[in-house]
Amino acid sequence: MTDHEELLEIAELYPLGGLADAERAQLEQHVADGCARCEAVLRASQNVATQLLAAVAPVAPRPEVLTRLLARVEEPAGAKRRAPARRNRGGMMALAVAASVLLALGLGSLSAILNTRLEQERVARADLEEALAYEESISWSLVRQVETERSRRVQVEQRLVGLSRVVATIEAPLVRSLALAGQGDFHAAMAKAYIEPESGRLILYAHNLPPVPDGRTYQLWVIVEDQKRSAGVFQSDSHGEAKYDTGRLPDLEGPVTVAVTLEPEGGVPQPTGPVVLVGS
Amino acid sequence: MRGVPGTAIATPGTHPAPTDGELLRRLAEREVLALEAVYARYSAYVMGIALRILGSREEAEEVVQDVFWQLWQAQLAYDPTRGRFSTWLFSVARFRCLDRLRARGRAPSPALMQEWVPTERPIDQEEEACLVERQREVRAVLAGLPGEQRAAIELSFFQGLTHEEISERTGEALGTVKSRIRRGLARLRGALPHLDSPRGGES
Repeated sequence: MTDHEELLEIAELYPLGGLADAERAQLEQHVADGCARCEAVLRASQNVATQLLAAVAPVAPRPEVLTRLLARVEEPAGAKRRAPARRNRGGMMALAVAASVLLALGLGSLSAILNTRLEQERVARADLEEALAYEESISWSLVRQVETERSRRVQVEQRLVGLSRVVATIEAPLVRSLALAGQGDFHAAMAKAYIEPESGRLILYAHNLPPVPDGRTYQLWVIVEDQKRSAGVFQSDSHGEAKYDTGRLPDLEGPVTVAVTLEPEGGVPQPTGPVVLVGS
Repeated sequence: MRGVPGTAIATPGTHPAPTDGELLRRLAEREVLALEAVYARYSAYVMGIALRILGSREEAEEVVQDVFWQLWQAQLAYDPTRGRFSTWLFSVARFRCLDRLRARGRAPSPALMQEWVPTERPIDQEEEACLVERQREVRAVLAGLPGEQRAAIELSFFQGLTHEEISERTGEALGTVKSRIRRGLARLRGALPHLDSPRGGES
């Protein structure tokens, strides 16, 4: 079996858990290095994993759970106790574990979570420092424990740094979004374009688009290196909203500018009318 | 007590249930009713997953409370462009539970070999309908897997055991365990449509 076949196997198994740390680390590095094939296998397998979860039979929690949750939510801000620093020490392990599975989760979308985690990690670290200082001051017998915590913290930090790179790599090709701003008379209009380089699709969601006058249409343009290419025509609905899916388009991998103009019905080969929206 | 469906507290009367996106926007504005509605819609699923993994009602309920509390606290950031909210939430719940299993020295839960039990739930809105449909399909495919493949998947995915631990437990070679899971996965992959496209498919 070649090395790469092994990696493909690991990629397949990754979202279902159960891999040894070394195997996971090996794959994370490999995907971070840009292996698209392993990444695709990883995604397909992730899809199965998410569906397995969704298929678990639901069970209602007892009503007290909601009562407790709401009591906590409605607790006045000032009454919130800061958890004592030492309680976070258990959380460090949980964080390490969570970090180790972030990649799998990251396929769903998790640079945001990762950032949250990093933030929590920073807070946890500050608390840990306090706890360490406290423990050092009370007893020599704890010194070894303190050392263990320190090395664990270093591991967690290294892991988080590695993972943020991996997640960024994995997410990058998934979906990009860009905001389009209204121009001139159309200053109230706004839109967001989502680009999926893999499928070569661009999906535009626009708001506050005035109704088009008779005989006119909105036309979408994709501009790559000053080449303006029509990506089709569309209309807004009675609420001034439009959703438009271009279907497959070439060259969406690199930097693009997306624009909408108002054109004669049926569209034109090159833009002639006023620019409605633009963004890059 | 089987799952109470999305009896959305925030949507009395004849109004259509708000979408997940709407609820999350309101949640971000710290609207308690939105939290209640999200809870009504998903707590039973989160609970189901937690119970399956942890095997203890008390612990599972703690996970439910933690997950929704963190959602409220905006400690969990969900990005709607990447996939369904439900998918994301369920993954978060699973990881929370596996963390707990590890923290308690990973005693296996009593629910270890429990089958997927179908439950009929009233369908009251699109997301719910989609979930119910998915459950039906996935369970059907799972039911068709050979028992040892299903068990191996169960042990690694829901019990958080490593392949090595599964091999020790079942007395089978490591390679056998891995190939069982892979064969099961391949069957599942072949039989299940790709439902988790960004924005949750076209509407």
